[in-house]
Amino acid sequence: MHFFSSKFDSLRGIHFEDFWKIYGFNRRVSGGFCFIQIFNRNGSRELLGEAVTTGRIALEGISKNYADLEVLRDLNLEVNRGEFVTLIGPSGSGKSTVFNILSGLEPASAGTVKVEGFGNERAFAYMPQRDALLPWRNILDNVILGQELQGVARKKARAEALSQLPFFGLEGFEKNYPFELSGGMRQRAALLRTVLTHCPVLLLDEPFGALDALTRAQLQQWLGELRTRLNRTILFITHDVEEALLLSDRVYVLSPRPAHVVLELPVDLDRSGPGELVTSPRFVELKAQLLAALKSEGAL
Amino acid sequence: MTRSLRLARQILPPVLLVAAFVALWQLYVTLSGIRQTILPGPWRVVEALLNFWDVISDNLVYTLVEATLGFSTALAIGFAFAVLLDYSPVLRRAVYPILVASQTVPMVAIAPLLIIWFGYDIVPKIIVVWLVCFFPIVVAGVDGFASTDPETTRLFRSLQATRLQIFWKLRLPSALPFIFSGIRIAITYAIGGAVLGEYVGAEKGLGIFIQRSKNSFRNDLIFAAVLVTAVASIALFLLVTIVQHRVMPWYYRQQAGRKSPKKK
Ligand SMILES: Nc1ncnc2c1ncn2[C@@H]1O[C@H](COP(=O)(O)OP(=O)(O)O)[C@@H](O)[C@H]1O
Ligand SMILES: [Mg+2]
Repeated sequence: MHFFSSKFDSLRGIHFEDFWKIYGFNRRVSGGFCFIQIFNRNGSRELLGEAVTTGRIALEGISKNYADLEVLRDLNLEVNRGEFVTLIGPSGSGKSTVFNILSGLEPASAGTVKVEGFGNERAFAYMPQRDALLPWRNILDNVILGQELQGVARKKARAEALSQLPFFGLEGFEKNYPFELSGGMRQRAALLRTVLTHCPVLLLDEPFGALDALTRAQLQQWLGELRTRLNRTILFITHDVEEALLLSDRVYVLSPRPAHVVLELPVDLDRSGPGELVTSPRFVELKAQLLAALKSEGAL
Repeated sequence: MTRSLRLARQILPPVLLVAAFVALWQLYVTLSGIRQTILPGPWRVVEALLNFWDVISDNLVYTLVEATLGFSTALAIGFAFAVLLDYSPVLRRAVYPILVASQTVPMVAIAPLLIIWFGYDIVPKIIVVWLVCFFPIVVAGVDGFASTDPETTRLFRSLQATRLQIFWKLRLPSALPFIFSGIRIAITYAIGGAVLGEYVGAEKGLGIFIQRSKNSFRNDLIFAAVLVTAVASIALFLLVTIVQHRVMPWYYRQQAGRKSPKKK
């Protein structure tokens, strides 16, 4: 928690959950952040100040079985607000299953998912592996799907979507049908659809997996730049080590099924520095670490 | 390619084929000297059609009314049925095999029974049409709903779509190409079904007209009635295709030689 008032200095050590028991509170969501107004509980209802949560998603001891198939075993992950975290692991290890659990499509067999500091809003927006654009809708009506299903008026949703199209390289294509677009454009449209749900956490499941190498490189670059503008927490799945390093703040390496965390790797790269990132010594070093972790699990 | 050119390329081959067939037919009748009461030549058929147009068109209206009434009830009930079977897997497993088995019952066996039960008026004909149209529509509907992409369904669920939203915004549009295929099959059966129902016993309609023509050895009139039946069926088929173009423009744009994607 970042507190805006010095009155709370003494609170820094208190665990998040205990905090709610001691003080009255009110949530206010603004600018993508959840502000919390804190009141005294002792009857005076005095407003003590405002705090903004850093926000945190924690998967604690998550296990998942499909009948006899054990997919996840005691998985522990943590994602902080605004962070870009990548799950990397062999095919069929259970990465998509993690997303299914987070987005509420599947219940976990055991363990808990804690979503702290994201307010009452729905936290997760899921972007499937394939674009899943509706062939009977043009791009504009495809990207507003999330809001439309929430009951937002189409007109309003369309206006907002139109203002976002340029940032997604889709300007002038709003009236085109998905099949009239290239693979890269369809993925960008699918991402815009995910972004427009206004959920604070984006779950991106191998969004560039089906693209050719060149388009893929372009989109990686683009997503890296877009990220700052989006101001969202992003959970990303890939089985491409370089992609993971290029984009993430932190990488979790998962084992083959049943998946558990093999390695947690903070990506401390200077992305603003001069020169080619992928050939920098630190990048090469991190890449070697990731590959070693994958290899040790027989994933490579 | 321009629109009219494409249209010409589509229409020309069947037209030429029919023209060639008619020419051969006329040639055979003229050269072989076969009696026109056995096999009338195409010219004779056209003559008969023109001479008897008043009677034939009168009967045609009857047949068309029966066909459209039977077809539209089959469409409405068949669609509702498909939705129901899509909604309940248990019901689907129970009903689907029965539905398929029901198609082995020959309509010529049922039609007379219907006359016995419902009399000579329009009702038994509508039922015959209904019976032949119902099956293709239900099957197309059920298959169409089942063709919905599972990944897109998961996307909808992750967006917290209600069942109703999933139906209207996903399952129904996914099923539309299938449903229209079913409708096109059904509509081509519809007039044939009506004619069959009339053939067994009726006061008016092309079926009973054919029956009477046969009894008075007017083969030319039989051919004329068959011609009218065929043209009416094709017209209904085209009508459905036009409606389909209106309802699913995206489908045809996609089919029309997937234009080279505009890369950016
Ligand atoms: N609904 C399901 N029912 C049964 N098995 C499933 C289901 N979903 C996924 N699985 C299985 O779980 C395993 C992990 O799948 P997934 O999470 O999609 O892997 P990944 O995304 O890492 O490639 C696979 O072996 C897959 O066959
Ligand atoms: Mg997967």
